[in-house]
Amino acid sequence: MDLKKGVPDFEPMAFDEVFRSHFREVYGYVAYRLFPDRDAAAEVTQDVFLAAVEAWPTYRGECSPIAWLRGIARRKTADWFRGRAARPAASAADMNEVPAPEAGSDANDERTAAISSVMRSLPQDYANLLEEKYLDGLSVRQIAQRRGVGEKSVESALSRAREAFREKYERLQIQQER
Amino acid sequence: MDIVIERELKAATSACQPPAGLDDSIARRLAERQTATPAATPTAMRPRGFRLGRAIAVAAAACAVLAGLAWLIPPLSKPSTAYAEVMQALAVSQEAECTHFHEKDGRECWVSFKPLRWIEKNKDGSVQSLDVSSEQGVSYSPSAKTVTIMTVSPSTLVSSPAGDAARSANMLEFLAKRLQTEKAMGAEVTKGAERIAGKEMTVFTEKLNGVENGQGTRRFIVDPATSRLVRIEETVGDKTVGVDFDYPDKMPADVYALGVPREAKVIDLRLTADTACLLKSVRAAADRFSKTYHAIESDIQTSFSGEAPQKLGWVNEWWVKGAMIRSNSYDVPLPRDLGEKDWQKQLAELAKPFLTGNVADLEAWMKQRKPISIGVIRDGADSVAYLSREDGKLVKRTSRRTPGGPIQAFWQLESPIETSTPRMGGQEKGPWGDLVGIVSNTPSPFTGPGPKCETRWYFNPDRDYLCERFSVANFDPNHPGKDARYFRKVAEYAKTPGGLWYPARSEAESKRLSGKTARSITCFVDDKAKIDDKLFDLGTVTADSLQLTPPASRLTSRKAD
Repeated sequence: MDLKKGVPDFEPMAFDEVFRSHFREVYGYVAYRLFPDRDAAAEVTQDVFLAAVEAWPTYRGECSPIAWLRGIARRKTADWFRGRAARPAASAADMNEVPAPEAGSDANDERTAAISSVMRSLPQDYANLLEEKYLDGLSVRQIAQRRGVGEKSVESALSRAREAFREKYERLQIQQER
Repeated sequence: MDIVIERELKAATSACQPPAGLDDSIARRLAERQTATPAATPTAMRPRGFRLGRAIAVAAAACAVLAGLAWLIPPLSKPSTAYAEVMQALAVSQEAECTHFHEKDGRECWVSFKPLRWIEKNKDGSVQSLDVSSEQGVSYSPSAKTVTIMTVSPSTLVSSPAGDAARSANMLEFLAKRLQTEKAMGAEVTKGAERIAGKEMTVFTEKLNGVENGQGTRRFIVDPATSRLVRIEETVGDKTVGVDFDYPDKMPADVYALGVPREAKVIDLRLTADTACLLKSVRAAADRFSKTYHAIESDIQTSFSGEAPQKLGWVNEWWVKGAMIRSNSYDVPLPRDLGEKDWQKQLAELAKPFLTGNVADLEAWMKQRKPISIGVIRDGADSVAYLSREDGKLVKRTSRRTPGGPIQAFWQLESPIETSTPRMGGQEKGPWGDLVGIVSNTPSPFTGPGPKCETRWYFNPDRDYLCERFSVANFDPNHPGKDARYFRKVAEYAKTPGGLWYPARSEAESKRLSGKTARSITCFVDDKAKIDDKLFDLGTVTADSLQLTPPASRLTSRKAD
């Protein structure tokens, strides 16, 4: 029995532990955001950890390490889209469209493609809000504090984001049924 | 809809598996990026850091065992009758010459105190030992069939539970230190009796009540026949972990007594006589530094290339009185309205007030704001208070940090000199006299064997052996010329009112793949200051004493021209 296991945060966690513990989660998050571009996902995942290792000494346990890493990943994926938008070949439509998975793709890919497509079709702030609430597990109060706004404002934005998600999600389901 | 969104998002993010080798590839890049020891300022009160990761296997394993033991004692208990009885059981237990504890998976450890000796045998056949009196660690690897002997000085252990144990007379004292310093908040102990393995036992149950991350219960099982502690266990959810204790007459003599084959190859990594002599002088000089002082230190980034920083720097205020240390830490955040263009010039302008060399300027700056964290070390236990970014509530928690305050940085003693097989690094000319060097090579913290990390220390005998130049370089044979470097040098010395030398200003430079950055570290030390004992009472710290950590500025996309 390792007595340190199950002893949350008793000893300072070295960044390599953080990297090893959360590498898959961060990659999974980035890959879903950038689906189906796996090369970009690998590149951006690397950028996330390179930024994180430099910022790690400033991390003060204000949220879980994975929520903190996802925050960085959110900014890095946004940077990637901005960079892509700047390239002449890309258009706004490009950025929001998620190509259908190739023939022979598995059910997981199809599901990721569908959700990625729904989330990308939402206004960026709505998508971020939904992720903070449902992926990071933050409460309305926590999101409000993080953003420096009132709880009411977060609640109403969340309500609009949920509604937008529902609309797109249902439309997608109808398309799939056809 | 809430359930649907949560389910779909979680499914989508867990569906994508990373390509093979990506983790190793990123780990290599991290190794390039990370300068192994950029802790140019004291980090003693920060909740997290890199320090433990750099400890050698022997010391780290000893720390893990002892940390576990320390953790199993209620960190923040309320004094009560039951509590006093737990203490009594520990008092009886500690009279034993040797404490032996063993775990279900076959791991066994023996510990004796004053001087600390610790020896451990693991299920895989590896054996490790630590002997503080001879400053020696031994590690047996069954796969390599080698016995490695290395120097482990007490200073290497200073920030660890093993360090606490090394300074303790016995198990009780070691455990009681935590109890005495952390009893202020909330956990409750009750006493009961239980039949365990056919024997009537006294059981002290501690409800953690959410204190210190704890949500479960701890049980201290005492044999009433001997009044000795025989088991400590903790249950969180449906998982229980425990350690059984007994008290043999004596410790195993050495690693060979635990089955290490005599023919195993011995690798001797102990310090050479000249290196040991120099290090002794350095440590003696550090020990001579005043035990009471007030210090203010600012660490400000002064030049920028590559990506914009998360903050401009930080300011720390320290009060040190013997073993008691208090630190107030302030962030110097970036302004939210920083422009897209000329942001480097703007930051350089913002840095100016911190570089005047005038302590009154820093004091005035601190007066206008509250610290983002307050840390206190007393009696070897380290606590920190800050406001949670998640809910804005006051958080007080223990962490295990290096005692010693900013003087750690004066001699760069945070770096594990002894454990990195150092050798003499020759002499160099400095503006204030000849410097004597030590150099060491260690594997990169991320990739193990392969990319190497070279650390150099140059001490000035004419300035109380202060570390005048310090550098770390990570080399990667796969990417020659793209090594990451960190360099720090003293730019100005000063004397305290009591006549002791210290580095009043240091300059640090980091070269990473993302670019070069420079920082200026200014320090003021007053060893004649009167220091009120109330400062070392974390109980007086309230939410009003602190400022919420400002959110990181979203500047990481800004790149230098």
